[in-house]
Amino acid sequence: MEVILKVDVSDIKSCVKKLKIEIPAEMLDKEIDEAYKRLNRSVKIHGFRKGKAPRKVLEHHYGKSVESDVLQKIVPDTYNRVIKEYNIQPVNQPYFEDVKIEHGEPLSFNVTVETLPDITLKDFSTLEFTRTIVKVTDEDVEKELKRIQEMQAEFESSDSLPVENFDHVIFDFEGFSNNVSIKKGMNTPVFVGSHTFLPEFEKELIGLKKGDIKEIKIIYPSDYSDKELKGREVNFKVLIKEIKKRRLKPIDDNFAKEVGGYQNLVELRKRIREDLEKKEGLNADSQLRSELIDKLIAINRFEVPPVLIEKEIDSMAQRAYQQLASQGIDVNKTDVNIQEIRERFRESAEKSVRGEIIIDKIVEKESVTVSDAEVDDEIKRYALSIKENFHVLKRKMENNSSIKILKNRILIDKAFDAIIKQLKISDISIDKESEAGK
Amino acid sequence: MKDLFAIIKKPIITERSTYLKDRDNKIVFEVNKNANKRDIKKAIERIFKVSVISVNTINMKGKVKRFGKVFGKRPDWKKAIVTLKDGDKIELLEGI
Repeated sequence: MEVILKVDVSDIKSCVKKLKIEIPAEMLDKEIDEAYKRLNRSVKIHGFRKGKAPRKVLEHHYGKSVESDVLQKIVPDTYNRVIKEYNIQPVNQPYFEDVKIEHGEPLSFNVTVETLPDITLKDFSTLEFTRTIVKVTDEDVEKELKRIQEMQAEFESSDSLPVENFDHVIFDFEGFSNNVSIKKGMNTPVFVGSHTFLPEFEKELIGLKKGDIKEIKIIYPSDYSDKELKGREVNFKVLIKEIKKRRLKPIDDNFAKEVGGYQNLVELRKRIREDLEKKEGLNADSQLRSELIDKLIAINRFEVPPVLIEKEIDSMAQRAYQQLASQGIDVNKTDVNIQEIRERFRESAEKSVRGEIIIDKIVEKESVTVSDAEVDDEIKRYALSIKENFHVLKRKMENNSSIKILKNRILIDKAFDAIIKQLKISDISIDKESEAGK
Repeated sequence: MKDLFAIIKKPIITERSTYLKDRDNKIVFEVNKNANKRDIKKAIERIFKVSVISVNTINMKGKVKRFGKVFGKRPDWKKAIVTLKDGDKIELLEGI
């Protein structure tokens, strides 16, 4: 039986809707009747066989609870039906009020719910963009080559040679402040020049040989992260236990072969250049993308449901806390005003929510879809890059639902590809220097 | 018998009693064992402001129940089936 509901939708704001819903009395009665029938089947009332108790007796025993059960079911059910029929996309839990139930009367109630704003994207095909691609120079290639060389460097223990920059040193130390030992470490490794320790400290190690003992006086800077040591003078006693000299491999055809099975150095250089250009291209693309979103946000004005912004702020704050926590800082123990921090996130939160709504709209408009095969391909590529078995990885991703996120990402990528094709884009290449000058 | 509520103890609501009520306008009560038909008629008329046509009574034997080895007996009681005048009804029991 299809019962006609009386529904009255009014916009309080463009993203807050108020629904006035009336359920006809017959429909309500039918629901209540059915509820009693269900109840009768399952309960035994004294003096009656199971299922034989008349409605009135049941009402006397269970009246209120049956009605409220029906209400609890029929109100949200109807609400769900209505939002489907009227194509309303709620973003928060609906707020029900003024639920009126009286015998023989229609059941009426009001719902207030925040929704996604109903927007139509303005035409963006006339927008003009420039994609700035930074040129890859020979210098960049050489730099990258050098980086690979450093990564491939071998370390050789040496008993006689002194410490130089870039050597790997293993040492014991004990730090004294006012002749009291405050810090101690055994077999501590350090790459000299990596600034793992204070640069002054590392500098003092240079020139030492295996077995050497040296006293190093360090005055910690006043802005040092450790409160205990900040601004203090500490005398370190250091014993060098082992020195591993860095030995760089010469950059030649042989090196190219070792690094990745390239025929010769020319080929390796070519590959490096390609990789760098690809990276720059991707950079340019993502820059273009954020520019595009910025522009779309600027030309499409609409109201954003406050709940969504709050949610976004929540997740941003959560991420910030986690990051701090990974640095060993517990937000609850600091005197940071959390409210203030949240306010600071507000602007970017709103921007990202707007961006998301627009992206959703684009996805809808371009009617892009992602097939499972495409997702599998992406997982395969990822599996290859982290050297994991494809099936194992896929199962893992299915379990922590990151596969959905991945799918969504591919979807967004495809939508962007689709609209970028429609845009007027002029590519310009610039040098690194001029970019830095900007 | 002065106290009306000492005569009428409680209505009996069972499948059979609701059936009798619906068919013959008869109401079933548990009543004091010592009450007679005339007491019951008077009490019902007074309490519920209805006219009673007739009263039938039955002495019910209490059930013998057993708990382990111990036998016990529930007290005997009296049941009264009261026929009301057509159209009269006892509001209190209508919702039940």
